[in-house]
Amino acid sequence: MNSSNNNIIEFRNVSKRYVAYEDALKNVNFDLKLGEMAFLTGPSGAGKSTLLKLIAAMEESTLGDIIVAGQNISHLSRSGVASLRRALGMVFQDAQLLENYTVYENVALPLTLLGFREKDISSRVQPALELVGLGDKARRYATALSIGEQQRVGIARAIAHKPPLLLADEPTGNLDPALAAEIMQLFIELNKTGMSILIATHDLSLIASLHYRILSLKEGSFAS
Amino acid sequence: MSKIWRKYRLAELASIMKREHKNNRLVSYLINHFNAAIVSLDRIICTPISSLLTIVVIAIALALPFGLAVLLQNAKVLTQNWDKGTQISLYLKMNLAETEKQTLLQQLRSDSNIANVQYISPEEGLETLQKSVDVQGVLKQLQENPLPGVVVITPKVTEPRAVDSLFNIMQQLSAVDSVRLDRTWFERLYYLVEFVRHGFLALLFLFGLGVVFIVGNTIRLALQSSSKEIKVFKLIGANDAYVRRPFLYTGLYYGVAGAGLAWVIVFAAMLWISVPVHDLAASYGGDFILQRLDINGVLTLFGVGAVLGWIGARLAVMKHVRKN
Repeated sequence: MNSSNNNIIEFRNVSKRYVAYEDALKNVNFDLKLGEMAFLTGPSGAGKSTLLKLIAAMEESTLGDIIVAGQNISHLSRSGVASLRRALGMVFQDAQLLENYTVYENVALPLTLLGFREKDISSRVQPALELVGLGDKARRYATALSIGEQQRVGIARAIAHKPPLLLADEPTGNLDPALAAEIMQLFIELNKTGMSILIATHDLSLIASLHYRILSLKEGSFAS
Repeated sequence: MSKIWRKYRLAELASIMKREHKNNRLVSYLINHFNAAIVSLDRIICTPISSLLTIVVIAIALALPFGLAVLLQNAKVLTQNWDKGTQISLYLKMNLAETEKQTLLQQLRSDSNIANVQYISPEEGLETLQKSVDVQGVLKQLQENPLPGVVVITPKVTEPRAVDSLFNIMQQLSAVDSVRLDRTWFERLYYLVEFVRHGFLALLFLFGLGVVFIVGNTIRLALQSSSKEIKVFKLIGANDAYVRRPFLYTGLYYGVAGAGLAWVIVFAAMLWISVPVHDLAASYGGDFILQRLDINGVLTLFGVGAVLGWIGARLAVMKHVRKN
């Protein structure tokens, strides 16, 4: 990628096939600009999660090139995959927290992996928790929190190292409408800080009133 | 958002992906090691019974070959003592000229395979014979001394083939009439020690393999119970080394702790048998003190334990980490 075009993600003719003759993604092309927030929508099985997994190198594309921050990540080595994931922020539908870790320890994990020192870790974890409204629950264990709170811990973990790119796969899937709207507002605030965000969701009602780009997937291709 | 800010964000992401993060990599590497070492220790302490069982099994597996090694060490001390008694007697030709005798002695003393050379003149031989055997009457009737000069040499070499070779060389010396060497017991003991030494190596290999499997299985179970943790670590960017490090430390700890307990077992066993061995030696008029595992042996024991523990953990973790 020529970084002068300001794209943080580029998909060039990307296809992903899990089993013979069934493409999860078919010849997908799209860009996400730096600082842009976009929604990836579509019914279940449309390929939303596959697309996010390709960006996070949790899957390898069958065809085409995926470029993140100027680097082609289509065929990364194992250490390259780890480096890419450390650079990103990822929010999962089921939060993916470690149950025997405190909220603080969960949020500190990416910082530890990046080699931050303890004092730098604490100076980043607490603000991240404050941002998601859990500043007073740092010492609690993740299992002692509600589902909504756990999801917010997951977001805090994803943003603690201030990643330039945040990927979220159905982050509001397990939440009630009020809480989902609250989480969505949080993403909007993060985007205002300059973070590029790509959110996969099937909840069109939640994003209908928001003025962000919507990428609609249907059977592995972007709808026109 | 300004264009400069956007560029900065892009560069930051690219630099992290290229592993050019601003934090000191060496410091973070050491911190990660320290954390992994603590986490591993904590994991062992949190499961005291199963950890202790594993350590005991490793200790027994290590104590057996190393106990045998101590016995071997003692056997070697014994053979060394017996080696000192291994002497070759060279019976010189009768009426050998003094110059020829001196040349022979000089030649023998300069031989690097010979530790000691002692010349017994015919007169000294006769005197010894007179003192030790009641043959005064017979000797008085002899016109002249019938005994030849004898050179008693102590070989430096201990290996039977080398002693044989030296024996053959001695036979070919022109000044020597005949050569004698009583080596039957020496040979038997030597080959017995060799047999035990090979047995030790075979046992070390077999029990070492056992330790690898014991640690491997323990680590495999630990990996299974930590599978969610590993999955999350990998999702947020932990590399293979980061994930496997605590498990490698666990294997290392098991190996070292097993070696420590093995040392105690061997020490106690040696202490227990030292008294009867001393009594046995005393009954033969000797003063043999049972050797214990020396500092090199102890270091080897700990080294072997640590390496085997690490290998076991490494084998278990290799497949599991790649799978995730």
